[in-house]
Amino acid sequence: MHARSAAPSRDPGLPDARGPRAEPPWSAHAALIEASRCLYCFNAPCSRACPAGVDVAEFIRSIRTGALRSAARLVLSANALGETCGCVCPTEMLCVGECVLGAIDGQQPIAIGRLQRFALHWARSRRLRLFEAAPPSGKQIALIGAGPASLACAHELVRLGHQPVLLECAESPGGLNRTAIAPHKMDTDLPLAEAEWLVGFGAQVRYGVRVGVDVPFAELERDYDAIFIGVGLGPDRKLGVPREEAEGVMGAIELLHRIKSGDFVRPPAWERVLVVGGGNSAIDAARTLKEIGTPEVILVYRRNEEQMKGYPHEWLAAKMAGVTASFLTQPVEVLAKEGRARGLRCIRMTLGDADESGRLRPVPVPESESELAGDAVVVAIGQADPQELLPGLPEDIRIAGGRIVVSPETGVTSRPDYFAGGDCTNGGAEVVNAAAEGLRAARAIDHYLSGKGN
Amino acid sequence: MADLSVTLAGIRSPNPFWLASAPPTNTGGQIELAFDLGWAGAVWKTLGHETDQIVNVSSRLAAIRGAAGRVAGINNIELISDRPLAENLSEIEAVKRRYPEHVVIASIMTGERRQWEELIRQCEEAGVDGFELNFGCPHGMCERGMGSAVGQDVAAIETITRWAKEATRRPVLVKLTPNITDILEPARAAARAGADGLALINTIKSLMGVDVDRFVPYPTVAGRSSHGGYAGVAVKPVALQMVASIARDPQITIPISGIGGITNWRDCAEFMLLGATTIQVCTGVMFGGYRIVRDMRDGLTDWMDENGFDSCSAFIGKAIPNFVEWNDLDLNYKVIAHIDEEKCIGCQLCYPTCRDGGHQAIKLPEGADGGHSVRLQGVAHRRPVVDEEACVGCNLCSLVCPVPECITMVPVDTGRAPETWGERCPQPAE
Repeated sequence: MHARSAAPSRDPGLPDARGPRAEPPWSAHAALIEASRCLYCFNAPCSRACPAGVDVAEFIRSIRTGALRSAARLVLSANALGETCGCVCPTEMLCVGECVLGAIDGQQPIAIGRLQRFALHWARSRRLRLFEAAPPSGKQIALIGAGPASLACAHELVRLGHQPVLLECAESPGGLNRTAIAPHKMDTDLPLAEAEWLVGFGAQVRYGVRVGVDVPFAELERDYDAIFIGVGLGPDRKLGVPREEAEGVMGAIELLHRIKSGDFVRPPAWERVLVVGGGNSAIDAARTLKEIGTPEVILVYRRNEEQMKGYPHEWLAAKMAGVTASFLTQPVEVLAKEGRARGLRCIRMTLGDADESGRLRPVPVPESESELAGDAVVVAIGQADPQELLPGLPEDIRIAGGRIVVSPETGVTSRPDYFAGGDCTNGGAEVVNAAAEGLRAARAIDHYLSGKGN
Repeated sequence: MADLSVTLAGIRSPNPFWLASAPPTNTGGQIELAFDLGWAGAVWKTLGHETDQIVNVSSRLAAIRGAAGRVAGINNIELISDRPLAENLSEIEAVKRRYPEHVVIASIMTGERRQWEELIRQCEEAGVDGFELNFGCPHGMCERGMGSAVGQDVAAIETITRWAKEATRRPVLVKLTPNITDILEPARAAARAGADGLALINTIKSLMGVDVDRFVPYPTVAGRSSHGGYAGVAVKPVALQMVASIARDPQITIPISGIGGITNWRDCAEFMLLGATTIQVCTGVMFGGYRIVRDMRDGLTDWMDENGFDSCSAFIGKAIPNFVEWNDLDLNYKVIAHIDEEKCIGCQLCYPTCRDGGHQAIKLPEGADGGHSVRLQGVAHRRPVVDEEACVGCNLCSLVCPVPECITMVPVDTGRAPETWGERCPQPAE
């Protein structure tokens, strides 16, 4: 046995500054083997668990028989973002969590995400067009934002014969799916390629356009037959504590975006990083920080482990990557020296009564302040409300609790010509939810336009 | 420990495991390796008369696949041995010299009586323990009036078997083709003509599939194909039925060497329980190698020990009395499906299978169209229910169920004495 060198000159395991590479898609043979394990359940619980309504049992059957075009069509017709969802969906909480194979001794649930990704990768890499669009209606729809919700909405609008025009303030499509997914789940190329494939079916995109600034809403209303809002949420929310502007304090989404775009090199001084939050973004940021080589990463969360909003399987994986946590800990102040963060002053919390969501409310313990040292602070406590992304939004579009209010059946807002979907309506959910809401809105827009009678 | 040795038609064999006449018995080198690994006998790849020209094509094999792409059956368009007869004979001689206790049978096939006689004499001189007349090959040779062309013609079977019996005093087995309406007809013909034993089945005439992109059946030879001989696990039920039908036929008393889809010890036990004295393997070895005999030997020995069988003769044919005509089955016996509530995983595969292919005796659970979430509501909410009045006891759901011993077929008391169709509707005496 060779002892492993403590400081190898060229360690293949050295962390990449952009984080680990996501796994490549499966080969057709690997997919066939996995698909062959599927029982093809009746009333398949996996299919019923999909927020987008993907018919999982049927698309896997088509993979098994080699009807790959049919498999891809089944997925795409329910979830235009099916390929990236195959990478990023919390399948353990959805379809895979329902798979009955897990209940048979010695069997594992079907890797449904991998199969879905395979089917759509197969179709996209062949540049297939899997459906015929309805005859052109002559209707144009403006979609604000080119993230998952708008892409899914546009895809369905093209199928229905309408002309979607996506107005995106950034220079490329994909939204948070491109910028803020942890690198071990997905790289940046895939959501870009997926978006380009979808747009290529007949949507138009205008980049660098800020609706409400470059184009007033009144102009949209004049030029388009309907408007879909899919802007997502604002930038990382701030802690609202003193000295938050110190160097070394940043938001989780900002951090992930910088890591994935390759313009971030972990400063050598970052020996110990504090990540504030207990949701999936906090877990993703913490795990990614470990994966780019940060020696110590501590999650700072005001409730306890049982009350974390992040998924248990994700938190377990982060712990296995070496992330630790300081629970029942609430930051009250950023500690800084010469303008650079050196930790957090925190107060101890205890759990009180349940709040309206049923989770136990954290309550500060008097005179329990202490200092938690850290060379950087990553704030992952959610994103700002969507209003600031929509300057000049007509006032008769109702917003409540930082969300655009929509009908759950149709995605229509308080105005009949405005529709919305994705994070700006659900407060921040999964890509699959955004895709489902985009599709739902497209169908409602189609109904609305046909009802107009012209 | 149980004794695996058997004697078939006077041929003593250290165990019942023989290689069938096929690619695995093409050369002396192959057969010596097989004997080293535990095979007791080999039926040499069929030899023709030295004047019979044999030319093979490429490719030759195609497969039908089951779950996860595993091969369930193959077909073969390879002909009998395409090597010079003299070469084969000298190898037979060498093998018998080195392995005097092992069994070497010459599978033979030719045309004229004089040719059969010459071939038999040459093989005898090389030292074979017996002969197997190949009346079964369903491709290539039958077009020349040989192989299954003989096996489908009762008169030809009798004639050629008699020629062979008159030409040699060594045991003569007749290998039968399954490509026939009633296997008893050729089997009885061979027995009448004095055959010392029967070997079956040869391969089944088949076409394995079509390349849907190029519109050519498989296996493809320069853009065309031809029918072949079907073999492997998939043909075992056909073989078992034919072996058992011959074994229980009072007119046939000669022993049987069973062939058809045998790949493991359990297959061997099944063929022997239905009357085979030895078994022959081809496809199992083509896919797993000669080494599969290790499991066959150990598994059969352990099974015999567990059941108290000292020798193979203690169990050969033991299942035959239980293989009867439909008319002799008890009409008043009934089983119904029972779903084990603890084992059920809620896949509901039994529901459409009974609704669409059974007798509509399985009902979905109440509510949510039967499609409750496993994670949120629990498996119990997805568990189907058997309507015991409607269940006819067909077995279908228990075959479809993916969980071992979850759906079992439970006998129920019908309150009626056993009665067969034969008893209920006696046939008038002729």
